[in-house]
Amino acid sequence: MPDEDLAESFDDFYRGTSRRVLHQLYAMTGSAAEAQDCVGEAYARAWQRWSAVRTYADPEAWVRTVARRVAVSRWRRARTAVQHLRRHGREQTAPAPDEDHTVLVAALRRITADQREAIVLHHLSGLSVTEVAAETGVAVGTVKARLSRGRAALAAVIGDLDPTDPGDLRTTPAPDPTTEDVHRA
Amino acid sequence: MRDDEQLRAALMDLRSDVATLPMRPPGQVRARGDQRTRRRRAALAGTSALAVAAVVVGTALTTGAPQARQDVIPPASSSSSLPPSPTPSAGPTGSGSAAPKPRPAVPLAVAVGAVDPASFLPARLWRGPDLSGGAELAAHPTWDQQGTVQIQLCDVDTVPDGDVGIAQVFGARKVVPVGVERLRRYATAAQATTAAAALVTGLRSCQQRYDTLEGNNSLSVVTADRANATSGDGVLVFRVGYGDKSAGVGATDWVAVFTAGGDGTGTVGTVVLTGQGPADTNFTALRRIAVAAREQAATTSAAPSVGARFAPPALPQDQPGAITGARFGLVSQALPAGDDVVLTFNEATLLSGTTAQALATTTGQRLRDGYYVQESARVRTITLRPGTPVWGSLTLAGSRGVAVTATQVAARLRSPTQRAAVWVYFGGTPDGPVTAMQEQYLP
Repeated sequence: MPDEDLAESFDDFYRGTSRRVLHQLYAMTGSAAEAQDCVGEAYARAWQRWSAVRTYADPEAWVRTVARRVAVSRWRRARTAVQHLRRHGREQTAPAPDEDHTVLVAALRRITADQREAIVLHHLSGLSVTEVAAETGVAVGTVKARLSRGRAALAAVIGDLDPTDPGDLRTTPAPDPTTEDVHRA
Repeated sequence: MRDDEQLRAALMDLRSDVATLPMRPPGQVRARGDQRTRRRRAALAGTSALAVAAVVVGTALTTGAPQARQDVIPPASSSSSLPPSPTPSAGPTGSGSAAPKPRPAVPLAVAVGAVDPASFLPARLWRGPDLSGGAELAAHPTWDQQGTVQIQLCDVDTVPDGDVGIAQVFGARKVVPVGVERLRRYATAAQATTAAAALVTGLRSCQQRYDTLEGNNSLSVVTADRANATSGDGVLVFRVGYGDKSAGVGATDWVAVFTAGGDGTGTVGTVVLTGQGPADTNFTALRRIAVAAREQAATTSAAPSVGARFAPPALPQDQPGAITGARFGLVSQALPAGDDVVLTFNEATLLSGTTAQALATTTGQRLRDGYYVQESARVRTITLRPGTPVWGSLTLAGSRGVAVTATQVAARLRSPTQRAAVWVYFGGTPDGPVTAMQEQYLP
């Protein structure tokens, strides 16, 4: 494929999916600025190997996985972040969240990263439990446990969510709730 | 089911928080990817041609006179909680075989002094059903150690000095390492035992250390020993969880420390798994890997050339001044020179943890975790074309991660007392953006 065609296909992919991946990363990290950085890095890496990534069954899942790992990797460099915060304060390049969402974001931050990841992939990205297990590299039972505990922790925040309800732990994918946005884009 | 809809709807609502955020144009994203590719190729190719592919500007901007040269303080000694090293087994798998099997040398991400790559556990022996679902693993050389040999947040071994090497093991996607192994050789077993004890102390005191850092009111670090200290295999395992105290976004590392001996010398090994799976699985996998790594290190131990300093790399005879790969240091000046920009760059070592704090105390500076030590006598002046891409931090570019030019760096560092901690990546072709490079050695 000529270079310009490769670039064009990447640009189409980026325009069609990046906002959705950003949304998912924001829910996982609780920080819009952090999510922006991780998503940007993930798409840059996707372009580096686009001739291969574009042939994957689900390139968007690849990018999302990379973005999640970039986010985790950043925490592993928290030493540098501490230095950075000490010298410059927290960067605020993104607007503050909607006030109505602050409580939800705070609640998401309070559950563990593993639980948050499972909640977002299952309930926002629309992946089945089996798919979440495959994407995160853990057993199906582990995913179910994380979803159950995460939901219980969020129950106090999200209306009258029943903390004892195990939820819809389906093993087949749900319709993508954000597909409509792709067509709009 | 209704609850699921509620939860999904609540998560979907978050979209409005990011709906208006500006996204980079796709061309900029591709340019960033291309830049990453150039940097990696430059670092891996070992080319002797000179060009600055990119100057990645770190987050630190320091002011004041350069720090005086420092001697590196060795790790504090304390009583070891590690059991003594057993006699090395004859074979890497402990099968009792008389002749050890030859193993391929592991490509090292970092090697200083005399470190035999064959001492590291080959990636194929990391593989197991308890790690990454049993998927294929491979070791690749990488440049991304950022001027330190620290491999986890609570690690107090930071100085790229002496005989130390690091290997990183990746899965198929090669995004972040599945695990990291570091080996450091010592002249005697007693020295290794003392150093291992310092690592263990550093892990156990990690939260306390970060709590006392100036300005750190957010980082939460929790370390917990796993109770296997008396199992007799000479491996101590820790779980290190960390995150932001207010946000709770975090990660978990699994860290094993071991000592190995042979020929009267000692080796301290550290293995880190970036835990993705269930805790018990990570624990099992790490113990398995660390025990095997310990045997591997013991069977290949050799008399070390302890004392090697952070020496500049050997220069090709036909390319005086040529250097490749990534270098961490301080840009003390960035001045326009005609149409070009001249950077004055001095390599430095980035320390952290107890070593950095000890140095800060010794020099009467305020307690802090990061500490730059300028040991290199070599100062380079690098002449860049003004349009050379530079990844600017908040400090240099005024916003996060924005590409700026060498000219803009020069404008930002206009004060002679300002210095910027930077990563410089060398590589490319003679037609690249570097037009000249000179070196001088400090007395």
